[in-house]
Amino acid sequence: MHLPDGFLNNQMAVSLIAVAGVFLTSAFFKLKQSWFVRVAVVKNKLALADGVSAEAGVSWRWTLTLKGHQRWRLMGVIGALIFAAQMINFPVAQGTSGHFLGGVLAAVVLGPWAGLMVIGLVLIVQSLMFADGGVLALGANIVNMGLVAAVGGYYLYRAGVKFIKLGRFLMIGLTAWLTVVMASLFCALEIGWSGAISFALVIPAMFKIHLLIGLGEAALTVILIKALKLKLYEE
Amino acid sequence: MKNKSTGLPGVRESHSAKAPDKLILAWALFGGGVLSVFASAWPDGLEKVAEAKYFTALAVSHWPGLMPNYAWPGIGPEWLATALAGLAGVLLVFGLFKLIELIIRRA
Repeated sequence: MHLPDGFLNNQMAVSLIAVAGVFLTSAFFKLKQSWFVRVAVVKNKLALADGVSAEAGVSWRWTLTLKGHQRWRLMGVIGALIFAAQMINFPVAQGTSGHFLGGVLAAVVLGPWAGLMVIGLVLIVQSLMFADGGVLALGANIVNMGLVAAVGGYYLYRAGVKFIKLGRFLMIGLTAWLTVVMASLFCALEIGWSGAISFALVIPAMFKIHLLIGLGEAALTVILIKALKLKLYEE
Repeated sequence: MKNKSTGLPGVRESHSAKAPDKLILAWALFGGGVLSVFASAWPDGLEKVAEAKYFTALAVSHWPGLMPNYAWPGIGPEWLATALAGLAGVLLVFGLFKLIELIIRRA
């Protein structure tokens, strides 16, 4: 579902870059606040957490907390996993393939904001290194697959667990399927609004094929979490 | 690489965060370096819709990327080019998180 450049007009692409930028930045600062601490380094030898007042020879620097270190590491490997899984297209209908997005996987394992960061970074690498997804369309792709699928998917999953009382994994699968369809609808709306093609043509077509692709997403999300024994994120 | 049962069976639930991380990375490398070779070459959902509704031609490229189409440039066999690009991408994403951590620590 990676939009190339050219499907969106410039107004649409640039607005979505701004939206993606704002959310990615705030996600980054949220994570930095909860997982990094500033420690005092005295003569580059002794570090005391927040205890030392301004003395000569004291400098401040950022470091990860123990929990932060674990979470950051997990983000790196989950990002790597999602990148790999996104490469593996699976056939869904004659002549059409789909691939894993990983928004819900990232969000239910890492939390919504870490999930958004991971999907954002994967999309940036795909666009800049592999020309998969346009550079100008990067904002749109981050909005569709990160903001809608990962962050949106996370809150949908939480609401589902709370109000529908389905099992966690049933809910994860259901959300994964829904987010692919949601992301594809956002994608279709952006294309339609840009004037590339009429809404009436693009929306039903995107909707139908992603109903199928979403089934793969649901299965893969649950299988990966179970097989790798990933712990679900707790607030 | 993909020998996932090397971990100590009894300590699976311990606080050692490293073992599962390594397992995940190993699977990522396996996916990017091996399974990616067998990926379907059919167009994905969006590409297919663009074909069916005749707007594929609108696509332009402002930036060719360093390894377009997930193929390591200059490598003959297609499967090898794909496998190398997959491995590179997996390591790049993983490395990027390390890099960000280092940059924050320096700041």
